[in-house]
Amino acid sequence: MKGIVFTELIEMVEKDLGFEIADRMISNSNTPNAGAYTTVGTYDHRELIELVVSLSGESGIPVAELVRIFGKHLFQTFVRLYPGFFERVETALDFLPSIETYIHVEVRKLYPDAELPTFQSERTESGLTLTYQSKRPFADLAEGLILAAIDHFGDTLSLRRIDLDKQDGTAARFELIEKSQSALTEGIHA
Amino acid sequence: MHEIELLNRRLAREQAARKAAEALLESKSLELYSASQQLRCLAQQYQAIFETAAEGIICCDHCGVIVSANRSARHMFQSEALVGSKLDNLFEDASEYHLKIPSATLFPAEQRDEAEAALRPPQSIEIRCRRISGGEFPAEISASRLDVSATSNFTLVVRDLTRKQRLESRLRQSQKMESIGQLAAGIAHEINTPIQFIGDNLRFIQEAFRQIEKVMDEIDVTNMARSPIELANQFSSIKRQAMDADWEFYKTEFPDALEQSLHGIAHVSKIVRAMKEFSSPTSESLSQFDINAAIQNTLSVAANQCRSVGTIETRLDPELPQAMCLGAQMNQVLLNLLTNAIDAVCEVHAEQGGRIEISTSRNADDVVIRIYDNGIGIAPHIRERIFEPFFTTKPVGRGAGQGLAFVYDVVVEKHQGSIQVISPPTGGTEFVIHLPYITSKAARSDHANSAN
Repeated sequence: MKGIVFTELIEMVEKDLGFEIADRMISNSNTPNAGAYTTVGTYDHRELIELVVSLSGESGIPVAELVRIFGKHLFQTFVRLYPGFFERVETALDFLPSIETYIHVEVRKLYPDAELPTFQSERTESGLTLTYQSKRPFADLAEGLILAAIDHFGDTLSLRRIDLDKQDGTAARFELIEKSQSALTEGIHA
Repeated sequence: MHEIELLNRRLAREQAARKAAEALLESKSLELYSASQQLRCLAQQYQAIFETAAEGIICCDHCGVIVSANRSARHMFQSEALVGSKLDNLFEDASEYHLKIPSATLFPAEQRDEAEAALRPPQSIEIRCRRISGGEFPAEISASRLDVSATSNFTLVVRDLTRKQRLESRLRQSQKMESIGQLAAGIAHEINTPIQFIGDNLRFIQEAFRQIEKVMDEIDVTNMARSPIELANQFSSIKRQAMDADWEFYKTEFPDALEQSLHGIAHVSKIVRAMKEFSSPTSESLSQFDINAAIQNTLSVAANQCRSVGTIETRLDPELPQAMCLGAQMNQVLLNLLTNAIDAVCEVHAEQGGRIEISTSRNADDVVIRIYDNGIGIAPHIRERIFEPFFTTKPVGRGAGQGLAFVYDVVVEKHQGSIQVISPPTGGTEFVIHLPYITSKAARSDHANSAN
């Protein structure tokens, strides 16, 4: 996993919860490099899990919630660092399919060995279905990123997550539904 | 924890991260340098391959402007300044090939898709090229298209065919001379036989003339007898001389000897004319060709070999129109097929049981030539290979395996005709050749224009 994910996590914790919590998160997580991450490095994704579990212990916030929050933070970082990916896109429904077809293609040019998750998208009458699959259990992170994308574009979409396969966070289907359609659907079900 | 201590710990992490980043950066720099060196090395290798390739390689942009040309291309077109010039300057009548030669002027936008289809996979065409310094040369060109970063580039591989065509021409001529050489003994025999009986007849006429001369001397009017007795004696002497000369015999044999001699001279004349047709220089252009006459010529040239075949029957359509042909090459085709038929017949019919039938006919588009023999036939397992160059079933020294390969090349490749081979398991072979009246598209067009 690229180092930027680690440095951004530490930066977020330092900023939102303070240096002391960040320090304890690192100290208690027992990572090999004692928290000395660099954005250009590559690290084992299990170190991120250790850091988040450690942070959960310090903050009392559930791990899943922390990862979702971090996903939202990471999205803002991406917008800042890679504005080109967000140009000429006006809605999350247009942006999210481009993760697989454009962003990951560009990432692979720089990092041919990168083990990226897949986001299979399918437009539906009511919105979009995005199926996440990864070797790593970061469906929560994906959910945070998707929520941040909806906020970023100012869309009125509701998000429904359905865990797939082993339900261990390695596979999930995200259904993005236009709010008006969502209300209609709920009405019918009611 | 004290704030100073926290900051110190953070500083230590940042310093460690910086060192890790620097180490990583250095390692990546080395990787990059190494990759760059490899790329440079590869580029040099490709440049060397490009520059030293025996074929001319020309790269041009989507507008047909040449962006690079290798040494062979510069040598072929005799210019060191090809780069920057337009591709269509290099080809004679390039518009004829507008779908295949990539150039903006030759490659209008509406034809791009069609042109792309024509370029994938690369197809080669034969075209005449123009040297910058003047002059032309025949070449084979393969064009390919490469789309990079939304722009199209084109690569042309140019192969100079001058030497190949010259060698092909020499080969054709030597094959023709080889055939004539093989037939020479038979032709000598064919000419010798009539020459011999013409000589005998002339000697007979010469002897007869001497005898008649004696009679004529007796009836010389300037030495006529004056008295009746002398006249009776003289008449008696003339009668005796005439009887000695066997005048009645001469009266019967003279016309026959002359008639036979004239036939012999006509026969020799026919063979010489056929030989002349065969040995005329190879024509490189299509012209009106009388196939029936060519078959008769071929039979004359191979008359001696034909004697070993029991029956040779010809059924030639008297209304057969002339076809556009490379005449000398078509003569060679007919001779190759006839000698093959004779060889096939001789393998199974030692005496007079052999039979060869040659016929011509026509349909809407083609002249049809059939050459049948009741010879040994062609085994099924070699039927697919008989038109391959150097494939032969004849013993060493008797066949080079070029005869039917030549036939295929001339009929199919050069005249857009077809050859069908029928050889049942019971033996015998029939070659059926369909030859279009008008062979090439260009010739058809010329023909249409002249008809108009």
